[in-house]
Amino acid sequence: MILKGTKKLDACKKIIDLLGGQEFSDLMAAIGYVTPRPAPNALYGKTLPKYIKLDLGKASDDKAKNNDIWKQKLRTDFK
Amino acid sequence: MKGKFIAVVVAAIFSVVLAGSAIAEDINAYMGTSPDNNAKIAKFIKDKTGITVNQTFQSFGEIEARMKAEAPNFNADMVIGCGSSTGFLAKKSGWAVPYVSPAWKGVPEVFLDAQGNWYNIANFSFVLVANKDRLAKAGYKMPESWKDLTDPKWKGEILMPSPLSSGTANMMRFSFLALYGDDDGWKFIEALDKNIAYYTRSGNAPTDLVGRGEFILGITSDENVKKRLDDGYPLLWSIPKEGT
Repeated sequence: MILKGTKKLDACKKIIDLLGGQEFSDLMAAIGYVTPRPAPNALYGKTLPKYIKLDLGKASDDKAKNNDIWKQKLRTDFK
Repeated sequence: MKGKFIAVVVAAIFSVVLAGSAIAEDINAYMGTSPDNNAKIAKFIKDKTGITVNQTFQSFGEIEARMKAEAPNFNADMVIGCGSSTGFLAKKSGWAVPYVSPAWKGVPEVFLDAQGNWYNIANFSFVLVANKDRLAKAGYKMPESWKDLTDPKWKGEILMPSPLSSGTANMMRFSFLALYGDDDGWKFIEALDKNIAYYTRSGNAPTDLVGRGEFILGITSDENVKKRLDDGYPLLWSIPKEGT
C-alpha cells in the first residue's frame, strides 16, 4: 500500500510491480505463506487450510466495537 | 595522449557516480510480517530493484494504530505487510495512493483492491501449536477442536496474542465470532480466557514461547512456524477441525 504524501511514488510503484510477480510468490510460499500466484507452499504442501468464511470488511468495521466488548469482559494487559 | 586517457577515466568515474546516484533510492516502510520475513522481503526488493527499504517492524495492530495517529501526514512511504482490516480502513479513509499495477494482472481478485488501494502480498492463517515434549510429559493429545481449549486442564498453559495490539488476534477473535455467532462466540472467548496464561503483543510471539517450552499450547500466526520447525524447535502444529 502506497501512503498519501510520499515523495517517492515511482519507487513505491516499482515495488508494487515487483511484489506482483511469480518470483515473489515463490519466495513467500517457501516461507509458508499462501500467495497471490500459485507456488509450492512449504508449510501446507498442496492441501491448503480449511478457512472459516469471513467478511473481511466487517472484520475491519467491527474492530473498535469488539475491542470495547473485550475491554469490558476480558483482561486488557499484554506482554 | 595521457591527458586524453585521464579525461576518459574521469568521465567514466563521473558516469558511474551519476548512475549510482540514480539507482540509490530508498523508501521508508512500515512492515508487519515477522522481523526475519521483513528482512527477506527487504533484501528481495533491494536485490531486484536497487531500492533500499528502511523498515520499521511493528505488529499489524500497532501499524494500524500508528496510521490512525499520523494520518494524513505519514512518516512512511509504504506499508508492506499489514492486516486486511488496515487495507480496508486505508481505502475508506483515503490514506492510500491508488495505483493499478499491470504486474498484478491475472492474480485472483481476492488478493487485490480493484482500484489499486491495496495488494495482498500473502495470506497467513492462525494455527494451534504445541510443544511436543511438554505435551507428551503431561500425557495430553493435541486438541482437535477449538472448543477443546476451554478444558480446565489447559489452565495457564495457553498463549494467544491480544487483539488490542495484534491484527492477527483481531482476525482470530473475528473468526471465532463468525464461527460460533456473536453470543456463543463471546462465551467461547470468555471460557478460553480462563485458560490463557497471558496475551502477547505480537501475533507470532506464541510460536517462539511454546517452542521454547514455556507453555504447552499457543494460538499463533502460521508465518514463523515453518522457520521454527526448520530451526529444530519441538513444535507440533495443526488447524482444528472447524478451520482457520
